Amino acid sequence: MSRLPDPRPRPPEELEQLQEVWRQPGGWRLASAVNNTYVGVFYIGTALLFFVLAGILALLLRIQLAVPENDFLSQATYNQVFTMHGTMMMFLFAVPAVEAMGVYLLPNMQAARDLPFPRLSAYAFWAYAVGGLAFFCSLFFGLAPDGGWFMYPPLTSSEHSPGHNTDFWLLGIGFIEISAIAGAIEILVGVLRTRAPGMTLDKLPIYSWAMLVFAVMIVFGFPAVILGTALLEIERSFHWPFFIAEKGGDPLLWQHLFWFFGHPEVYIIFLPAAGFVSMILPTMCGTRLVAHRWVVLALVATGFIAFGVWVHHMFTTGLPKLSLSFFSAASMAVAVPSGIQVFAWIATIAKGRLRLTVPSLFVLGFLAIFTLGGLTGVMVAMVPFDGQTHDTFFVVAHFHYVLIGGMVFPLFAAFYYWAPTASRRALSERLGKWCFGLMFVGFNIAFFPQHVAGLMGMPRRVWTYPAELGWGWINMTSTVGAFILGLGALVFLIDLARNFRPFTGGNAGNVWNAGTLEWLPGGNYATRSIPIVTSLEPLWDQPDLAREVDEGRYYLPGAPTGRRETIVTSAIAAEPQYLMQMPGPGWPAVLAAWFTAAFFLLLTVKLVTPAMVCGVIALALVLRWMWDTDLGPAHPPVDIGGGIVLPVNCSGPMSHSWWAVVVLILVAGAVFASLLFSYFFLWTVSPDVWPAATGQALPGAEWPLAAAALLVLSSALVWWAGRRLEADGHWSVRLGLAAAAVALAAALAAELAGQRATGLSPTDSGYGAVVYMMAALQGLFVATLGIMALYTLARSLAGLLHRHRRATFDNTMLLWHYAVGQGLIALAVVHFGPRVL
Amino acid sequence: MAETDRRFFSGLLRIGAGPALWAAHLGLVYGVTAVACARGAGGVAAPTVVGLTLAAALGAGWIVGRELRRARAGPAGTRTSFFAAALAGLSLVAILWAGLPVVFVSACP
Repeated sequence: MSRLPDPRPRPPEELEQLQEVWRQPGGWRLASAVNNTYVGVFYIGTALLFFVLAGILALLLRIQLAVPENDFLSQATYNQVFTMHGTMMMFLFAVPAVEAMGVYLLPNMQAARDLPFPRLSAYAFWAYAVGGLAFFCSLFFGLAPDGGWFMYPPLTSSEHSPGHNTDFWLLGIGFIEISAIAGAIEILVGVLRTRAPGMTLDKLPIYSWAMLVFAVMIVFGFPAVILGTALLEIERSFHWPFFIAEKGGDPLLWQHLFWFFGHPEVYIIFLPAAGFVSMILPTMCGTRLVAHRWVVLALVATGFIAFGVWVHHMFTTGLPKLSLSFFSAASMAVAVPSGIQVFAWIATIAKGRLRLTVPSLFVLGFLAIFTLGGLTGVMVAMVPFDGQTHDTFFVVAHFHYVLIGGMVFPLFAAFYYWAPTASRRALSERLGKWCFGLMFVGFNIAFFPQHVAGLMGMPRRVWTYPAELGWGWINMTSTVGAFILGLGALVFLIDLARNFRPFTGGNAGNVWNAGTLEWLPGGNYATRSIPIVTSLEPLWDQPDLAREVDEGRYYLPGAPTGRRETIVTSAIAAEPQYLMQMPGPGWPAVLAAWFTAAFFLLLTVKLVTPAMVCGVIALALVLRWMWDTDLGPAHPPVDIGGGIVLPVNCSGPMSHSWWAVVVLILVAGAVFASLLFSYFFLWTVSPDVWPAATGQALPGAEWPLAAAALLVLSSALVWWAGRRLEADGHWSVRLGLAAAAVALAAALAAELAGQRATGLSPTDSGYGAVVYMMAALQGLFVATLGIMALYTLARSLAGLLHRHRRATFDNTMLLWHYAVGQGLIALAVVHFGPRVL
Repeated sequence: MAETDRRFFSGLLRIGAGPALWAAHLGLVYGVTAVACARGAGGVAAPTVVGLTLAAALGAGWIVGRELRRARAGPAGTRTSFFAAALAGLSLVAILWAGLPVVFVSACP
């Protein structure tokens, strides 16, 4: 690749066409925008709204606790308010906020025109915004969940929490998890496949690395809680006793599933924040990040070890001592990679000259607070110490130090740092310093005393306390601190109102003299042309880069196919592979999100028929949205400059949609693995309800054998249909798919018939429940693949499926083979398990 | 699948090998202890944990050695070797660290 692919002057109409193609709709149609710079800003704004709302709830809690024997909030309201505070901060603020920053920043940082699935981002955003607001409003009707943000059964079982409150949490959070996974797929494929040419993995910005690890962690972490919420909702609605000890279930199963998600969750929100810090510090110090490689290594290592520490939330549940020790060790080990990063940042500050700007102040505040939180983290990783402080305010202090220190301070640093890329004006340094000062001082006054309260024995989640315990002055101090912290946040909002001016078509430019690509000049179309990247800080190393990019000297200076496009590159070397055509503004994805939110929320209050109507409408809209994808080679190959001619669109293993389905299969695999864990966990704790002890008859071998044969047949038919598609044998493809769908459904029917013939019912015991749950999960795949097969048939009949335009078929086929594999493993476990165990 | 994608997946496997070994070790020692204690066979737990820990540590050590040899052999893929060796090294420490309590702590409550 030469230095300048296209030194000639550009034709004047080229820029006009580029602007026209990427023009955003005005007025109320702005809601149909799907471009990352718009959706990203909406998304960040909404996350900030939830931060403010959940912060106000925190202030209510602090007013209630300020003096002993207070009756500002009733006990029932207090329970709802602290549950909503925790739930909203984690699910409606922290995860969406970091995901939103990723949607906004990543394409700009990688000089792509957008992320690979813009409508998926829009869908994830709208489902979250609409659903989140409705979820918040449950507070005004006394319907908000009240079982704590981790919703432990048996407190949350239908026996002890009969109202709709818990269902709001289970279903409300259920689809916010789906929204998070949609975002993670987008980010994962985006980081790996839409980078500037030449941006090899060793030239990938640290922030992109952090988001890559973040997305992988969501893919493996969130499925456990998705399964957990599904099991608890099924137990509450249909009485399948997964968590009821008398029937061979176990409440600890919930804790395992919840914390297998819940602890990685802490790192899921910390790693992107660490990514912010690793981007901001080099700019503010005017030097490159020290030990870049080791910081990347630390991010990856944290991503792994974070999955080995979940049991430290369960140190007081009576698990074997040796088991606890394993997780205690892992919990200490996870401090090592965090330590590597902290030392790299300190060394970077020492190497350069730190300008004390607002982003720098927030980063310094982060270093101080997060390190203290990390130290108390190592303390509570010790089993004996944890036994003393478990469920006290010491833990509350610890995790606020980690979460506010580790995530909120870096996020505010990021707001101040990157605001000039979105807004015509930078935020105010003067107001920013007030904001930082109030937040830093307020935070420490609010939370440091809580360590002491905890050591004095004050438990979490109490709505009030008697005066003679002597906790009054500590709590009053905490409350005063919380209000100072709140004042800091208010100053930030005033700064936003005065200075933040997005969507004006211009921005404040590279005000910090940063070195990475998001500071290139550009418009809605991102940068005018897409540069070749030769170093980690291209703007520092190539002083003319910004001008050359803006003059269209690099790749893809226009819109050669007359539509929105971006370059798809290979995963390691970032070599251009093909040109992807992208969608413009549109309603189907946005409306689908609204109806998805309505489906889940109506289901919460048991309005089943309206919920189903909304569900069907949402599905129809998703299919409508899909109909415009899989464009095939819609345009002859295009010269993007420098003599590089790229095909337009692509199917097969190289395509971005194939990669997205592979990630989706990883998600599905993680859900299934969580269910397998549940099966063996229940067997470990309650062998007395297993057939060996109860004498429960098992289905004869003919049933599972028939089911397995049908599954294999179904896969074979799909494989054959794929072969026939290569030869454009359209009727064979259609018949093959239809027959495969029938075989897949028949396999499920055979399994269910076999189990029913033995008289086993899912409500009998934990065993019955988990056996039928295996079939239920398979049923979900049968239904999904049935719809996908019908959709593929429809495309075939409409003439939109042939051997050069087959991504729809390939994606269906991939998921199909996965479902068959999962079905075979489930059959083996359900039928061999009770015979062997 | 394109050659460049194949390299991506083989690199991913090499880098992930150490941490995967760590995860398998943690899962197995946890599972063995849980089942042994639940079935009143606590005596089985400690020797199995020792065996699993030594096996996993040897495996991780072998990966470190192999990747360091690869890194010395030539510049191509040095970066992959660095990540694979460093992560396997960290996994080795984490495996030994997790297995160590078996010396001090009795298996079941």
